Amino acid sequence: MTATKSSVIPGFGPTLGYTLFYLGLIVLIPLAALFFRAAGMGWEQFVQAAFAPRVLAAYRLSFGGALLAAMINVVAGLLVAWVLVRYDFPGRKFFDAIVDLPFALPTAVAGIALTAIYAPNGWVGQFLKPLGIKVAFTPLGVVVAMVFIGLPFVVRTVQPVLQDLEVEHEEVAVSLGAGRWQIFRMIILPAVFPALVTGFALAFARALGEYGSVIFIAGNMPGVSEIAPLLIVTKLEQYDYAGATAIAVVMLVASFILLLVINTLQKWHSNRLGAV
Amino acid sequence: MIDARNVRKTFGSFAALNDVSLNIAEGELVALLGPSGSGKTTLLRILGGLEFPDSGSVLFDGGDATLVSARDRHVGFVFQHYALFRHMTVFDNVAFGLKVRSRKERPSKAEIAERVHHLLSMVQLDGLALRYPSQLSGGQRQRVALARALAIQPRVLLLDEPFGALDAQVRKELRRWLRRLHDELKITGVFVTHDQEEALEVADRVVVMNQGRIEQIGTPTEIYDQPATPFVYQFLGNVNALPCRIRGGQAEIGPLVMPAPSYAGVADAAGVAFVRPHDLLLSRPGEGGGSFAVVRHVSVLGAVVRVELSLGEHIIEAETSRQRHAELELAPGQRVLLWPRQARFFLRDGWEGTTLESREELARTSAML
Repeated sequence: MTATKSSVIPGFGPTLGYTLFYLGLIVLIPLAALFFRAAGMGWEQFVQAAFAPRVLAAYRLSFGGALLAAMINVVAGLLVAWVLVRYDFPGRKFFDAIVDLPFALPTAVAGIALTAIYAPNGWVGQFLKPLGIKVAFTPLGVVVAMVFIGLPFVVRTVQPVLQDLEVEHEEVAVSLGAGRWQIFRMIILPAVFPALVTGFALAFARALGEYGSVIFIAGNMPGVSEIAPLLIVTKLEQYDYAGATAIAVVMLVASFILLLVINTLQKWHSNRLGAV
Repeated sequence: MIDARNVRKTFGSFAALNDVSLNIAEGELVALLGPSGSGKTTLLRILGGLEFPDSGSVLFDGGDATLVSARDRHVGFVFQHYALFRHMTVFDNVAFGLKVRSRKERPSKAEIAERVHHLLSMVQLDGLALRYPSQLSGGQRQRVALARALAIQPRVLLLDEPFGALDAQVRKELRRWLRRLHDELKITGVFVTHDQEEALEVADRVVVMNQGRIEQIGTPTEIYDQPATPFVYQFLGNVNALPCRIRGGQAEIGPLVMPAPSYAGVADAAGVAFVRPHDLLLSRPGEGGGSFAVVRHVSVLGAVVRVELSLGEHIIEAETSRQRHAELELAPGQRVLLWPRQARFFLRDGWEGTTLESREELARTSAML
């Protein structure tokens, strides 16, 4: 790429140099160290550490749970954002502020709070128990914690887009005979889709890396409710640095590919719009 | 065809429409003209079912449609900022109204395609069906919006400041084109505008609105030549509004005395005289009638010459031809005779409150001409 036209900040060279240096220092070097560490252990050893049955189960829970939680958050987050943008009700500002709490709360506190509520004798857990639903100390609990911490990402990315939606589009659609569902599906959803994808990606990434809140509610039974980040910490505590990095590398590569796919999807969508 | 009866609408404490009644005939193109805040857009939205009146009723073909939603009203809406669906091609935008129909009423794919292409050629956009709105110019976008509205074969076409966002040249072109299109399709249309030139040029009938009321309804000629109220006088075209005294059938504007027979019964009252600049006749002293006035300023604007004169303590604007200007050899400081060919008088009582605002409008509209 060469510099095109003149931009607000002068000097393509220095700015690109700065960007690469900064990204390198903050992101790439630590990650590269991870790969070097893993590369030092030999292929067989690596496979053994990274793809043991217990580890595979942890991947499944981490990726599956994060995907499921992000999907739930996309639906719930869109709904929350919609209500906050479209309706004026007493306490709206209050609820708007509450959305950010999962950002601000120390994750361990969130984990303890969730566990207290969803434990079989907790506020919510005691009503779920007779129905045969166990939340705390099961994979379901993991998903609950992941939903909790991911919600603000979806709400905050979708909200400004909903705010900018012109009511005229909906009015035109109504006058052309469209019903509510058609308007939502054909007018509103395509407009917020890119923001939803971004929100999904953020919520997913956050849920995947989440440690603090999940380990309290998960119960951490090996092969059942044990997440990959916990496994890494466990290995570290056993001074098995090579094993820990092996798992980390797999998670890193997998999440990088997923995020890349999501970004491409979004790019494709905005290109289709003829990018205004 | 459309009948609005005693429509009232308030937003909070603001009365947007105050007892408005309006009748629109089949095939007519009507302009709702007025300054911002006059209620013209609210009236349009009520006709289209996007807003519902607090009281009064709206009839379509004699049937009560007051509470019928926009979805079931079969009206075509065109907005100032086009409101095209950005993520859809031109084709999909135009086809939208057909595609959302229930399976029973929906035309086949081939029929939809044929109809859309027919509409696109009608609005002179053949070949652009696969473009996205962001790839079109403003004028093209508005024509897509029009084709989209026409696709559902609406009973009425409602246009909210349809050319307001376009630049002057395109606006002029497009409004002539709209007029031609209307003459071809004979569709009933109502459009909102604050541009008097647009209203006078395009519409069959003009509805002048002010502060939630209808001031006058009439053909463009009627509205311009016989304004019913001081507001209409000031809103349409350039006009001199001169304070005067009305005494026993005569109006005195400074030294100028004119007959005002319709006020014969008024002994002595304050009034205002409205005189269009082109209705003022100028002549050399000794050659005609009228009062003496002094030329203050002369500006040549293409075919017409605008002359600013002082008559007593009043400043008056007159318009005359290039030829007349040459004959009179008008120059600042010169004394000329001034006689209004036509003037209209209103008593000050009763409308004083409404003029302060309209004076500003006057300044704006004359600046636009």
